[in-house]
Amino acid sequence: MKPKTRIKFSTSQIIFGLIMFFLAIVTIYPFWYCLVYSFSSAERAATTNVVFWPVGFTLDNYATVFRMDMIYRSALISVFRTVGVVLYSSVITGLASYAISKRAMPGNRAISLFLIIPMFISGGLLPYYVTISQLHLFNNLLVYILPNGFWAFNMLLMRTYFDTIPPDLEESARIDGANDLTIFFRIILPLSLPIFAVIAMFNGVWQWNSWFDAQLFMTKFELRPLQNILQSLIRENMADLVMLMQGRLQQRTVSAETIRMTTLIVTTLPIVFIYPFFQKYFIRGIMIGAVKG
Amino acid sequence: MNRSLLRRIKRYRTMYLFLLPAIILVLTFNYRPMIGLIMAFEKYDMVKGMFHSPFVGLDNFKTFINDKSFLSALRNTVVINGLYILFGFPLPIALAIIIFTMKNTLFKKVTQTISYLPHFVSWVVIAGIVYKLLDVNSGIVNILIKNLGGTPVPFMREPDYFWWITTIVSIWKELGWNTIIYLAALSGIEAEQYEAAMVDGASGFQQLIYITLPGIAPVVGLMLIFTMGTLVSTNSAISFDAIYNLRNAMIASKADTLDYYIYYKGVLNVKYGLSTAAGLMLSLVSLFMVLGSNALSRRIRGYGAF
Repeated sequence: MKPKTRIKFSTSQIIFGLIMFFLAIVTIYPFWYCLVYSFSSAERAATTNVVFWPVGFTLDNYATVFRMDMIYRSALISVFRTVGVVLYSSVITGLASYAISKRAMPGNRAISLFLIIPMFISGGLLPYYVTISQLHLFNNLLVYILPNGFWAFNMLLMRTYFDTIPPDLEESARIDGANDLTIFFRIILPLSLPIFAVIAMFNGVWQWNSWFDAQLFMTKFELRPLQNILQSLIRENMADLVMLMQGRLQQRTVSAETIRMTTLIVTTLPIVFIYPFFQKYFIRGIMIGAVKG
Repeated sequence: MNRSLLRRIKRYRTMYLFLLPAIILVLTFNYRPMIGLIMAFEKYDMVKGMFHSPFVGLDNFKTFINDKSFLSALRNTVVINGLYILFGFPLPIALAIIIFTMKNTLFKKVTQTISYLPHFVSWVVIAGIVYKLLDVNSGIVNILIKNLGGTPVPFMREPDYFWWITTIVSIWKELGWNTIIYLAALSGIEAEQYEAAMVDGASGFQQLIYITLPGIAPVVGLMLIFTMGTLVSTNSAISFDAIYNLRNAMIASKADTLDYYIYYKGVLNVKYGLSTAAGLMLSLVSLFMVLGSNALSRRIRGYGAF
């Protein structure tokens, strides 16, 4: 920043800047704390306070976490459900939203209503639970994908975007002999990449962070994603079990606490890495939603 | 059916095909479970199944209304969501105005981006961090308290702190994210209004009172109505995710909300009828509140959200 512009900042600008600075620190610090804790030796961390930097720097915690078989298996399941739902729901929501954007289509209002009503009324937890059981989706990896292909809210967001595409483009393509599929994939899709990116990001983050469906429908532990493994490490005594199995009970650099913090960082890092690439899109996505609302 | 309608339907036949997968999904995973709502009026028997279990009328509803743990869950739900609305609603508005008023610098961009981050982190992770930071022995908060001469507080072991902890953590998680909708509204205010005000010599505070606040009032009103509608609801302001991950058996008396009650009774206690009944009532109440607040909005502002 040039000193010239700095002089122009008024008192209120400085106060606002301080508030934002404080907020940023309060937001980042808890994550930073976990990060430095994951690089700290357990023994040192128990006696010295971890504040800003690791105490007794060690990579043993990461060595322990990356020696757990269930980390790889559950990470694979997390990636599977995230990528799977992003692709699957993009196709289903994209096609449905495009059709719904055709206001002249007979029955459009009725179909829209049919698709939107579940936003407001649902059967609730138990009837859903029974439905999943009747569909034989318990302990079936498809339960991560199949039910998550369509949300009316995403359709409304997408329809609002499709409305901004000039109809002339489609008409001239139709005169040139293009059919509906060609128009959708060659004209609409390339023009709508920002909204597809927004919805892909919402779906991706949501899938990566999901754990409840796995807890309900996956009685087999090995079919659960990363979030559930982290949950078991935090809420149950699984971390002690890991140390026992890896013969690390005598190792002073590792404890249940450092294993938890390390797994927590490993679970969160993918989000943090992807975040900067997507953040310009999600603001646009919310803006589209806001204009509609 | 007349000819022209048939022809129009034929013209859009590919569009109906495009809609088909979505319709099938909604039928299977949204409408089909609604049939299961009949369990609310049954003494559900897994062997006999949904359609042959004995019908018991409103017995399930009577059971949970007289259940002490239901009443405590109702209280916790209302208090936690109420606290969240009371403090969590105005803060993003204030922050959005601050961000909007700040000069565009790299500093602003970076801090703003950081403020959105916790929204994208799962409640499993957030709860892990909260338990670590508030730990009675090694948590940084208690270390701070000790250094200031106080006695350590067992935050996650005494029920009395839970309402506030949940409220504060939820606000912390969503504060930045919730500014976005207001920032969208703020950017819609015409710049000429501010220019004219500055020509007239209006102070920054006067601009806030006479231009900024009236400019975002419609969006604030809409958001307030929606938020009030979630006071008792299945998509309440404080999510099931938050409660499940932050709660533990020691603090259950102040932590368990209606969502948790429904989960606990149905999935863990296998009382399908009771759980379905409680879920149905909660669902009806939240639908009523959404429709009610929408009607209120129509009356006050002349239009609703739908």
